[in-house]
Amino acid sequence: MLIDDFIDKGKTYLYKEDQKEVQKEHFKAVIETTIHQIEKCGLYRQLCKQKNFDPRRDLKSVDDIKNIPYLTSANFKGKTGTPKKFLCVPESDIQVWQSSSGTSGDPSLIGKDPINLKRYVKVLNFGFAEVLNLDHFDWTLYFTPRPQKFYTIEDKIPDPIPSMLYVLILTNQTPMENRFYALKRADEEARKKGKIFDIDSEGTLNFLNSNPSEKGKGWVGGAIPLLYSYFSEMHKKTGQTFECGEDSVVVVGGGWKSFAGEQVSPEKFREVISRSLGIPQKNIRDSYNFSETDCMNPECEYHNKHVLPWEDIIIRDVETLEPVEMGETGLVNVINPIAYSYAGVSILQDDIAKITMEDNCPCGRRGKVIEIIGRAQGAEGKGCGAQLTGETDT
Amino acid sequence: MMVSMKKKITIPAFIFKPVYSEETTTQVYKRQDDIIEIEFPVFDKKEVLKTAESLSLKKRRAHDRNIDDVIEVINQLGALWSNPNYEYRKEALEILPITSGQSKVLCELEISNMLFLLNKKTIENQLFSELGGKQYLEDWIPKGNARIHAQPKGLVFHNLAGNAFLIGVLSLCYGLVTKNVNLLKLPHEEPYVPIKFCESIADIDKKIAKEIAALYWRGSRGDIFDELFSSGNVNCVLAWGGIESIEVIKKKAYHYGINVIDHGPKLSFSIISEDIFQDLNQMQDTAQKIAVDVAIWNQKACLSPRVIYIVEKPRKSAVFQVFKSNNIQINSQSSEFEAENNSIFNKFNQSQNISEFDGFDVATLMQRSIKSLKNEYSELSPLGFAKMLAEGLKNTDKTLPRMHLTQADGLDMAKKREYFFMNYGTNSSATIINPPKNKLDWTVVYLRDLPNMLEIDMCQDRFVIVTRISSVQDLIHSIRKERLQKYLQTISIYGSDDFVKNVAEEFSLLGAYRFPRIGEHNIQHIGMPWDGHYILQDMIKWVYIGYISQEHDESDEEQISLIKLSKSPNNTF
Repeated sequence: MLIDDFIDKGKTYLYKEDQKEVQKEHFKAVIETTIHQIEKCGLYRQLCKQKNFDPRRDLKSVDDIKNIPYLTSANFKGKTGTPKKFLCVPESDIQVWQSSSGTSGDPSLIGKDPINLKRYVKVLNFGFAEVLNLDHFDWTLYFTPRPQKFYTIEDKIPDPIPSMLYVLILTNQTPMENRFYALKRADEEARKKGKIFDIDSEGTLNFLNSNPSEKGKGWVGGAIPLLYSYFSEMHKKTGQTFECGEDSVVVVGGGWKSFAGEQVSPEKFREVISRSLGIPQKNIRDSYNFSETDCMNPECEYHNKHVLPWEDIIIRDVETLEPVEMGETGLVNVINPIAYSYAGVSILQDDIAKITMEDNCPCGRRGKVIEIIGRAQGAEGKGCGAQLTGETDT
Repeated sequence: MMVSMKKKITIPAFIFKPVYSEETTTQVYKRQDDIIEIEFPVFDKKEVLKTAESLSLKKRRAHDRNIDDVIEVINQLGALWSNPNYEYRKEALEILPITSGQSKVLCELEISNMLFLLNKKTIENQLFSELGGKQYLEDWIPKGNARIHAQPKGLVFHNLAGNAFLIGVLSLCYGLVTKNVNLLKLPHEEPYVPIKFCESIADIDKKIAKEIAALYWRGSRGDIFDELFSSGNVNCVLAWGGIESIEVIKKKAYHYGINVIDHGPKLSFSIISEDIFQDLNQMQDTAQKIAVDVAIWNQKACLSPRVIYIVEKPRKSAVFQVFKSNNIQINSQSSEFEAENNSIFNKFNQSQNISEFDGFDVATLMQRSIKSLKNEYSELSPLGFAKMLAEGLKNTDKTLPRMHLTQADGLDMAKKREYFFMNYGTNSSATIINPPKNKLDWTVVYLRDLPNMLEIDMCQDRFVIVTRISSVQDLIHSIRKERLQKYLQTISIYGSDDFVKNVAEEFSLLGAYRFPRIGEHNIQHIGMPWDGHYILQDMIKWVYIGYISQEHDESDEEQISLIKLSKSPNNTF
């Protein structure tokens, strides 16, 4: 398909002066993917029919991309959605069901077949290499538990697997002895309190004290609140710092709220982590990903989150769902022509963001730059006339 | 041009007077460019327990206060807030549209409705209707061979919810007028209004203010609730809010033998008789009235209608009639056809798609076609009513507009529409009606099937389902199936007197309490019970002194002996 050629030209397109041409090629790939999904997914076809949308008729210019009917992430929720109904391939072709973190208690499930997976891993590796400065790495320290099994892209996985874990497994090419994990299964006492994992302080400290910089370039990864609370607490208590190497990179994700619910500022996070690990602040990067698409928005050295060539992001007004202008905030609508096995060409996410610039990031990479504001906020108080299905007090 | 508002305000707690604490929390309200941050104190166990203890010591003082003085304070409170130039009211009307999501005009309307209750005459009427008169709170009043008296419960703990901003004020006033001392736990979502009213009370009467505390502590602090209830200081709990928080409170309070008055989640809706289809104007008028019922409180109150059930009995097949008149045999047993036809029709009403049915004959299929044609092309149909309701909501949006949606609410509305389309629209069993350009202000879903609990829960924020039932029994069956009986509250009814009476009878036996007319969901008549009981009665206990009247002869009819005494002369105590 056109998108495969497009992905192969990713590096050229990322830096190409004439972005109009890139947009044209992207547009063709989007049309092809949209037609594929409408033809192969009955439910998405019906939605398009209801919206009176025919891609052959209605996608005439790049600007028309905004008219592709979007699905909200709710459709992919395992319990309340119907993720299987959004498959564009037979269910038997699905190699892996990726699940979201499921903070809402009902994780999304996205079925990916070998074609979709191959593209997915390709664009992930591209993001790591071309934007996050992780073209190679010699060791990893992930703030996750050690996976029970190390899958390859060829493995068919019977049960849903959390996206983040899957990505960390697939993209890690370092020797097994150089892979370190900061979490371990919680002991019985902690499990009684509802904890599943705990920090393996001894193992983590042993590794960090072993002068990791001597092992070469490393990747420290995990969720922002976990890394932040671990290293800021440690610094408060002991003042201890480590040498992970000037070239090493910290790539994190998962939102900026601490466990206590307070907002962690990116600047403060970078300051704390840089001081603790001896990694320059420019190498401490966030990456915006979510399970319902195949796209990632990695931060460059200027801490700008880039929309990579194959993706487009439309920001929509929260009241009218119409696209807004650059600089205005709204809901994130991702256009993802990579999606092959599921109807994910246009997904409306629960996050609020704005496009801050286009084609003029000082890093030289072209395309849109987005700023993620956070989850859509302000669910109104629901009290005596509200949720029969239960709610929590604050 | 609208000017956006960005405001940060700090409010105190109210413990006999406005007080601040070191620890605070902030509730942020964001609607498009309007942002309000309300910072307010958070208290810990020690302060909460100390407050309850101090309040408890004032029970006698509250009891001894003359009821007329209490009524006068509440009357003055109502008068103050009725004044458009009153500073607190002016500020509240600036803030409430952003915090509640309701327009200023809607907030004003709701405040005015509530202020009607804070009026000397209304309070006296309510005391008369519910207790027999204010004198019962003052003295021991003769009744038969005894004297009875309404004593306050003592310390009433109000666990408030954030959905309807005036609940806290009403709850407090009911506590005051029954001569209780009052401890209010503020909801994080809406701490502002109760505090402002407490401050007003303090301005009117500092003494009575010393019998009120309104403060916030984290709901997750189960230990505070435990110790509060075990302290012996709390005598009665009024629990407003969500199921989980109420269940937790009930469990804890019952453990210490404290009575909990449960004002948990409730379900309200409308039932319309098929008589409505006889008059187009009546249909439009009814739809408009329902639209107003929906708009007030944006369906966040327990009494707001969420679903409109329209009775539309299965009719004789028009096709069958044609066949019959032309002596065309559909099958050999025409008399059985009708029964079979009706049962298929009922089954069809409950089904999600056509493929569930086997053995349809042509007549049945044609009957359905005629039904759906009627639904599609005639306004005198449930779908026609749904369209009129949409029109009503459009009109109401102009007179009682909502405020900007929050980010989450906008997304929620989009998801709800998508849900109904994906689950019902795709097999033609739902029609979704919304404003032009898919604006998210309101939504009417005409649903062929009866909604389940999850779908009924989606009906908030001007999102209404219209559906048809072949009989009231169908709806009763559905409510039982969804186990919704315990949530039933207000059911407005349109129809003949017999229809209204019949529906009220059936649904009150099922669990519902209020049966107002269409358009009166939000009107509570003075002296009428609430959720099956009289709210003032909940806050008092009836006590009596028995005596042998000189004027009255003892008669057996007036006394029930709790112990059967023997007539034996040897029986002595």
